[in-house]
Amino acid sequence: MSYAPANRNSGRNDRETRYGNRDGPRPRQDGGRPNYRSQRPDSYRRPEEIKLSHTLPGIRVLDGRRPRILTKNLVPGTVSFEYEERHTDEQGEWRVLDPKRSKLGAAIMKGLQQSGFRDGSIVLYLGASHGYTPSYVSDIVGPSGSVFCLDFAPRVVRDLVFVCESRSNMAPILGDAKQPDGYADKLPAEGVDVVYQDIAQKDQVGIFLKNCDRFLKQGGYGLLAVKARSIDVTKYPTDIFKDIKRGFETGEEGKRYVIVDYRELDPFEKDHAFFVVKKK
Amino acid sequence: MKLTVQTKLTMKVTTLRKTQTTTASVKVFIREARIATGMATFQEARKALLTETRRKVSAAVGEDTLIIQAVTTLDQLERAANGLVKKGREWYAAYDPETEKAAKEHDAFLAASKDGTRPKETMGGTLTAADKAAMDSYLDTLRTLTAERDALAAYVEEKMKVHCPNMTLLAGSRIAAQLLSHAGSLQRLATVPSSTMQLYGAETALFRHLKDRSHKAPKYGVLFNHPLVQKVNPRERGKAARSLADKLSLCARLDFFKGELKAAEYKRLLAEKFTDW
Repeated sequence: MSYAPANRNSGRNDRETRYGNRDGPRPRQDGGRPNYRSQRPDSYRRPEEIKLSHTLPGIRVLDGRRPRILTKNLVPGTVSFEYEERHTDEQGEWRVLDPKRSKLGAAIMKGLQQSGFRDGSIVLYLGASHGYTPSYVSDIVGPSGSVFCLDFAPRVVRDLVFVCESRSNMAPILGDAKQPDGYADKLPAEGVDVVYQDIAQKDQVGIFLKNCDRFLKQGGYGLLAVKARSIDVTKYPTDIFKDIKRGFETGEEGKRYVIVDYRELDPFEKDHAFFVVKKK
Repeated sequence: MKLTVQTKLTMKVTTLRKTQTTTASVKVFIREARIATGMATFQEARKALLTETRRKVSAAVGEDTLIIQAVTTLDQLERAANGLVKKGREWYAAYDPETEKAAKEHDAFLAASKDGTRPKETMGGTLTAADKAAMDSYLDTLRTLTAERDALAAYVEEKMKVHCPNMTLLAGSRIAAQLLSHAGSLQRLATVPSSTMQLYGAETALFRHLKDRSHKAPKYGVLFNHPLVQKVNPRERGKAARSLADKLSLCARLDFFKGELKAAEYKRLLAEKFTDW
């Protein structure tokens, strides 16, 4: 994992070059990044250089030019989402994880090598929303695992409750990830194996660290989906990702965590990145 | 019996294997038992969490939610009704273009077309009873739809007068409710800065501007429809929106903390500042 030295962007903070109001329009954000966005998402084809992992626990990847991610359905026959795709073979029923709907799916499509999930993991899921990705996490950790799904918007938790009711390893919590005190007593006292966070807040990383420090077991994994646009719309997303990386490598949090995987989620999610960290 | 070294060794290995299997199976047993007890406690916790979350979701439905649902539905209904009436006018004009032309407002048209009488020297075509019936049935639906829209607007007005009296007095129930829907709750509306309130409804323009300064910053969002912003000299619109947002944010705070009714005074201050209004 490498990134450019800190002084590479030193000129960018000058107003003229940053916003391009004197020197014409601002340059394209990522320079030579291939323009995936112009392609229709349906026609996305995996670039040759991305190698998909086939060893992620609980996840089956069908390789090919148009790969698919499958998980074994925890509740065969139950439709958790009306748009989900299901397949049945001799091993049972499988559900297809759509990378356009899920950042976990997008990260796997971009070649994620370590997910941190295992059969039987206890997961704290922050920003569960309607429960699409959490339902796949529940498939992955299986009947002996458990997923605590947290969201603070009552509207989406309404949908989430229905998903949790049909899946015996999921439990909903209506609470604010910024205030761990509000739900600390609802989680297992010994901590959790995985913290997954996908929230659109300015202080995403701070909230993530707060939760990992408090709830993650030693050697546990933290999965963080970063939405650069929530942190600062005026900054370059790649710069934001670099700052976060730098924090985990040389900053204060680097003493407690180590990055084990990092993916940018383009073209599935614009200006998003996915971090997997391990607690030392 | 004389045992060879070979047999002794085999025996030793077998016993070793046996003990190992035993420890392994005990380990598996312990692990399974732990999982089983873990799952039992988890199932208990899950049950409690489901009940608690259900209760919290239910408790989260308040006045704010109801007003927001009503006003967003009203906005959508208005837009839809407008398009549908347009189509209805086109259809009716084939039968009676004179009445259709004379009615300026959509509502006036719906009232005028009700009895279905047309001038003798009409430009309209000849319709059979069945043709006329099909058209009338559609127009009747439109009348119901517009009546529904008016009822909904009255409902929003009534609700807002109680929930946010200050804001309603200064901005009207419609704009006040739209601001509320942008903020998500009165609590949030009472805590955001007035500059945020000024730009509710202009999010697209704002973020376009922030991303790339080659676009101008927006001056108003929902507040554009306020009579003050509409009536002042166009050069002063931004200023008017800013002052209005300032007073409205004071109103929101009064409404949230159940303060006194001060909107009339704010209105007077604004009227002094902007004489066009």
